[in-house]
Order: sequence, then structure tokens, then C-alpha cells
Amino acid sequence: MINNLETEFVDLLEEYQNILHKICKLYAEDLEAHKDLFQEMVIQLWHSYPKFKGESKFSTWAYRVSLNTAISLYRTKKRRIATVELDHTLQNIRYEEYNDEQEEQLRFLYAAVRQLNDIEKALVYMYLEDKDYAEIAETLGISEVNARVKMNRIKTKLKSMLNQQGGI
Amino acid sequence: MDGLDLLKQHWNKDNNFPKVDKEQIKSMLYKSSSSIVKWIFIISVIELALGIVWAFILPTDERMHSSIYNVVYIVFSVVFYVVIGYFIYNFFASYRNIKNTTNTKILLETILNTRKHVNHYIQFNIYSIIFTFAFVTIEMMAMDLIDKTAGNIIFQIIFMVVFISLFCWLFILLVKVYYKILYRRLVRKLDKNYEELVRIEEGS
Repeated sequence: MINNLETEFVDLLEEYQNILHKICKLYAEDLEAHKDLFQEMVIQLWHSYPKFKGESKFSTWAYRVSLNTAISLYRTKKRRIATVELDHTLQNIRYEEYNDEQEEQLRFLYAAVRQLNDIEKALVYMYLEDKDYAEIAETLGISEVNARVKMNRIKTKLKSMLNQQGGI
Repeated sequence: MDGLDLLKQHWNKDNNFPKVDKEQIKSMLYKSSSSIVKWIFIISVIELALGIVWAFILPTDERMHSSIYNVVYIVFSVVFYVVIGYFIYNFFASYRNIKNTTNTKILLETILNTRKHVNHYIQFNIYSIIFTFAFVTIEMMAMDLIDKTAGNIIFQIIFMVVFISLFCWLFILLVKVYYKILYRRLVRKLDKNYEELVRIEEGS
């Protein structure tokens, strides 16, 4: 029974792992933190999986639990925990090295987003993922109007951060 | 096109994350979690246990006591264990309500509430220790003051007030230092994120 559940979960997670990678890309500062956070998200998802009844899509459920992990549960570490060895697979995720002009602009943008606070990053993540404001509001536990207002403020904030950096 | 829209264009195309394979995912499932909630739980259980242990390790008082002392002692003991039982029940009930599938605000509220029960428990323990200490000291001195001159009585009362105040001040200072070091570091992130959500709701 547990083995069936485990196989089912691992299959689903393998398919939808980019959800976790994308959240890590906004919340983790470097490759080590990416690995830590990715592993913690997998653990949290696995712990809650037996109660996942398929009322929503797996992808929706997974991004909510993963966002909650990044915002509420994950403890930024000074000393690294033992993580499953992923260096050879994750080494291609770029955190700093961007080359041509457009990539330089993207570097500015990612750097600016990483300076936002955890809640603002969650709003940005859901905006980038094309979630509607009703879903954003429900995920964070705020009203739809306030989610919209906050998102506009974040856009303005990012614009001014980028202007200051001489970016876009 | 603003910055975020440019990022969105790239974001949707950016799906070339290297794959973490099934074996790697499998080995992650049984790794120990290092979440804040786990640490809050471990530290809270240690603190709850210490709160009970101190009541047993205090030296027993073999002296003869006044009848008021005996009554206060019994009432205090009953109240102490009932209140401690109430706090422990609240802590575990609240801990069981922490679900990473609820919305972020509720999740943060539940975690912070769980910790709040332990804080109240600790405050209650501090007041209990201070009360016990002050009560025993006053009773000891009162028994001692019989047959003393007025000058001696005034001196002993002043001494007693200074002594108890100093003890309380030192004790509270120690607990505050402990909290600054441990507790603040542990829940700082949660507090910050919860306050941000409250600010958004207040429209500020």
C-alpha cells in the first residue's frame, strides 16, 4: 500500500518537478539553498500526500504546499544540511552567469525579484504562472482587491529597483 | 512592456531545468525535515518538560509551617497542575492543526499560535517561581520575626523586599536574554511574513 503510494507520488513529482524548481529559483540564493529548499519541499509534499484527495489538480496542490514551505516552513541555514546529491543534475541552473544583452536584463530582473520579501515573491511567482487574482488571494489568505493592489505596488517597486540599478 | 512582463515571457519558456530522477526523489522522501515547525516542536516539548521538572527538583521544605502556608501550598499546587495541563493540551491541539495545505495566512497563524501557548506556559512558570520564592521567603521571615524588636523588623522587611526584587529582576532578565537568542531567531521569519500579510489586508 505504502509502496503503491510512494510510486504514485514519485511518478507525479518527477513529472511536475519544475514547479518546485521554479519556486526555488525565486527563493533560493544559490545552488546549495536550491537543493535544501527542493528537498524540504519534497519532504513536505510527501508528508501531506496521503491526505491529498485529488480535489484539485496535483500541480495546484503541489505549488501551494511548496509555496507554504518556502514562506513558512523552510529555515534558511548557515550550515548546510545533508541533501541528496544533485550537483550533476542541478549544475546547469544558472544563478549568476548571464551572457548576452537580454540575459543581462533577465539577470537584473531575477536579482530584483530575489530582493523582494517572501510574500511579494509568492505574488510574483503566481503572477508569472498566470494564476488569476482569486486564486492568488485564496492561496495567501488575503482579499482579491488587496492582492491586486499589492501586485501593482510590486510592479512599481521592481521598476524603481531596476531604474536604480540602471537595468531596463 | 514593464520588467515583470519581460520576465513572464522568459519564465514561460524556461522549462529546461535538469531532471531530478525517480531514485533521487525516492531517497529524499525519508530524509529528516529541517522545517521551522519541527524545531518549534522540539524546543517547545523541552520547555514544557522543564516546566514540570522544576516542580519536582526543588528541595522539599521540612520546616514547621503556619496553617496559612499549608492552605496556600495546597491551593497553589492544584492550580499549578491544572493550568499546566491546560497549556500542554492547548499546545498539542494547536500543533495538530498545523497543515501545510491551508492558505499561507492560516498556516502562519496556527504556527505562531502553537508557539504562543508555550510562551504563556513559560510566563506562567516564571510567575509561579517568583510567587513560590516570595511566599516561602516571606513565611520564613514572618516565623523569624516573632520576639524581634521594631528596628529589627523594619530592617528585615527592607532586606526582604530588596532581596526578592533583585531575584525577580535577575530571573526575568535571564529569561529575556534566552528569548532574544533562541525564540526571536526561530520565529522571526514567520512573524515578518505574517505581519506582511496583515499589512496587505490593512491596505498599508
